Amino acid sequence: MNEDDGRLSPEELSALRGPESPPASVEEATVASLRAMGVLRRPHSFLRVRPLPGLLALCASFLLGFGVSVLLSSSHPSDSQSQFLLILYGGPRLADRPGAGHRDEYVMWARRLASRGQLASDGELSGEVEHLESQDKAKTPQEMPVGFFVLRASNRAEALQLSMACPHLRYGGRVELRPLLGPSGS
Amino acid sequence: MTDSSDRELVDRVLSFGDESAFRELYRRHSPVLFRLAVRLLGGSDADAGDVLQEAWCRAFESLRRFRGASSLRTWLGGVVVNCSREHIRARAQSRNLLSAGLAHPTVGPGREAAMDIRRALDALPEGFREVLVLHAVGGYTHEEIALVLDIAPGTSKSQLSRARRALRSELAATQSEEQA
Repeated sequence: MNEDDGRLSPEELSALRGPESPPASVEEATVASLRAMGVLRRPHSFLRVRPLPGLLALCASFLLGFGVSVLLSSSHPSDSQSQFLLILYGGPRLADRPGAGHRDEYVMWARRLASRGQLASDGELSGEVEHLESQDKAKTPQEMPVGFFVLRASNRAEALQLSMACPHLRYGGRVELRPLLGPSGS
Repeated sequence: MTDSSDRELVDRVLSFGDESAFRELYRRHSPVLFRLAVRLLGGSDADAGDVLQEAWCRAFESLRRFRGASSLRTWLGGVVVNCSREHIRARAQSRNLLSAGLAHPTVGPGREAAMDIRRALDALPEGFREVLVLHAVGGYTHEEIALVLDIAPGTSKSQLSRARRALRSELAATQSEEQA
């Protein structure tokens, strides 16, 4: 960058260009995601790919949840991991605005978790609720949850860190993180 | 397979789910796309890997609509830029919530020129950084940058010139701080 208009020198260009190629693990993770999406089939498979059912399944998944359920089967949870329920309150309803920009952010975030084995389940909750309460319970207005993710993490701190990146927090929503108890959650 | 065109490989992936065709496309384009993501994101290889993976997934969600108005390389560059922008927004939000640095890739206090120029690049406004990275790191022409960023080629040229000057100023400021 020695000329008047500030062009980069070969040394500076080399410093900027940095690594030559991504880690091999990224290629494998990408292939696994595309297989789960139904885009790719395994090499040497004699089964004919049927893209239409795959796409339909993907679309259904997007309508029901955040579009990553199909990836869950490809995740690799560790035995030492616990499960945490991330409950979403308020914020946007994804099903109301298909194609909206924020929807892609939810999908991107959840897909990344799934490819790392950090997502066990996900879903968007219907607004139709049946309340069953004890008769002597004082009635208090309660905020309705709109969706959930079941996260896999080594500990609460890791689960909290994953939750911090949830797009719901950027769109006026609130989230609640709770450890799941029981055989798979303790 | 290395002689196949991008279009032929894409068609094989879309028509037959041909994994070997995808891997050929991946290996053909990912080195540049990865370098773009690394620089746009501020030097984190792990984040760049996430963005690269997401970019390929998004690309194949919408490749059936790709009409070839631009080259596949140009089109993929646009997907990487969009994914990187979203990743940066998400990362900033995470930092705000934690009120502290959250796994933010930091460049060490090294005084080498490579560190200095990367740090200077990170300090540039997003628009300058994108044009400079696409041109200097990705080797994109102004016409291609215009397609990627949805701006005029002339705007790309002027943005690049201003980005270079801004980078030079940042470098000078960094070196002044180190000498002080």
